[in-house]
Amino acid sequence: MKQAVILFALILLCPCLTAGSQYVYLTNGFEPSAANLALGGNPVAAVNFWHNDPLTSFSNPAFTSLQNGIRYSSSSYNFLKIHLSNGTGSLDYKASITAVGHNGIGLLASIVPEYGYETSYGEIGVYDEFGDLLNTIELSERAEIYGLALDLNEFCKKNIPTVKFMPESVDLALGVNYIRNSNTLTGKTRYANSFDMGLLLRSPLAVSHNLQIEGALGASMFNVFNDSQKYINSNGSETIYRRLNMAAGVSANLKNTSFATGRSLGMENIVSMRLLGGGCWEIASDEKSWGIGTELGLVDLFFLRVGKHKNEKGFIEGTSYGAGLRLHYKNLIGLRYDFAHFPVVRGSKDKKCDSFGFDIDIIGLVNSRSLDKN
Amino acid sequence: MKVIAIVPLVITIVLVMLGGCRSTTAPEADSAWLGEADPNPMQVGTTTSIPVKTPAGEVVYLFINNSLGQPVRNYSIVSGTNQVVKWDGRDQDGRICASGVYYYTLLTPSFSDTHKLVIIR
Repeated sequence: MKQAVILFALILLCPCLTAGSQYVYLTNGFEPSAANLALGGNPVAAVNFWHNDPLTSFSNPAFTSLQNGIRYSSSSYNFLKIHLSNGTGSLDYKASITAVGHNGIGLLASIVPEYGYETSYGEIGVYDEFGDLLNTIELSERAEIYGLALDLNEFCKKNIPTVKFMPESVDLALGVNYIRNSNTLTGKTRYANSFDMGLLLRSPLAVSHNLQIEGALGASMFNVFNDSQKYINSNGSETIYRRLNMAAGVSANLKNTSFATGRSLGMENIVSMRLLGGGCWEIASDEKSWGIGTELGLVDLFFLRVGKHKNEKGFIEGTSYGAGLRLHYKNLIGLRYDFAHFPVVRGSKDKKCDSFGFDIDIIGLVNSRSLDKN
Repeated sequence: MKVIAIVPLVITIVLVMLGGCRSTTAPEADSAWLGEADPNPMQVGTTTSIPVKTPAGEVVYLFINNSLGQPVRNYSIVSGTNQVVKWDGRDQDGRICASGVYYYTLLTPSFSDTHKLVIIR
């Protein structure tokens, strides 16, 4: 009752409506990573590569190249907390991505399960003119995702050391994700393809014996080639969800000096602090969003996150927050859990996201054991 | 008293006979009510009818959101009994909405209900 009154009042104060409904496959616009959601959401996601989480590669495909080993991560949330009197299903969003990286090259795929994300809208009944139920349609959108990324300096250093076309202090990563979108809005599965591209530029800003400060700029674009899906009943097509993301971030790490000597259990950093900020632009609808976020990490184990998200039109804004736990050994094998609270449409309940994942760098582990024996 | 108690039942029966009610919840005499859009799924170029019932003396709103939660269209409805809101599948700026799932919500100070609607192009 109270919530309804608040929402009622807010609607009266919100005459500006959006045109975000000019796209199909709108759920490409959801952020799957709980870490990103806690830090302000989509606007900061283009730069937040400081996590061993393949879900972050959804918002910037370049991130896939930055980590070694096999990584898997999965997240889920209910993205519209509303009461549906006629709904028989939920409004669930699930994302799962697997990535492999080695020596500056990274591959990403939605393997387990076969889709990178799935949005389930439940079902609707189809009635005839007399009001009799003809059949029901299960409504869902899915995306299979396959990605390729290259960390140029790392790749050249490890594979073709004679080639040096960039200063060593600057690192540039590039990536592309192929998205095979599908939906069941007509009762049958329809497909449409699109491509996302991203880049990340990072450089150390200050380095001392136990302090490291790093700056990064990230940019990505969803549906970079302006792909579309054909109409069912007439000529023409409609554009798949399209968005430009740009963000910047600074990370400061107080280093664990015994990590390099091997006398540490895997805590590379004692304390880490990150500041991120960025914006998104939905091109066709000319809709902009901004976000800022900060993260505090303790011994690479606990992470506290808080952020702020604001939509230009003001209908989605508020504070986001969350936390993360990462159990790992020398960044070679690890388990992670993250959760986030994120603001949704004003007056509605917050979006709550849970994410878990694991990573293992088999080659790194073998090398580490060899070094230990020697 | 018996006559008063029978009124909601009679209204429900009449609505069902007229084919104007497909909701799983029958409307009560003095409360707001939101029915099923017809047709649903709707195709671009057509108009879908959303039956609503609003309590006397209240101005209520029907608003339509997309699956990202973004507002698409708002209607203010002057109180009345059984009314029909006709939506042409366009946003507030007159642009045709893309294929997808949309949510329409009837909101009064004391009532809120949301249904799904699918647009197909």
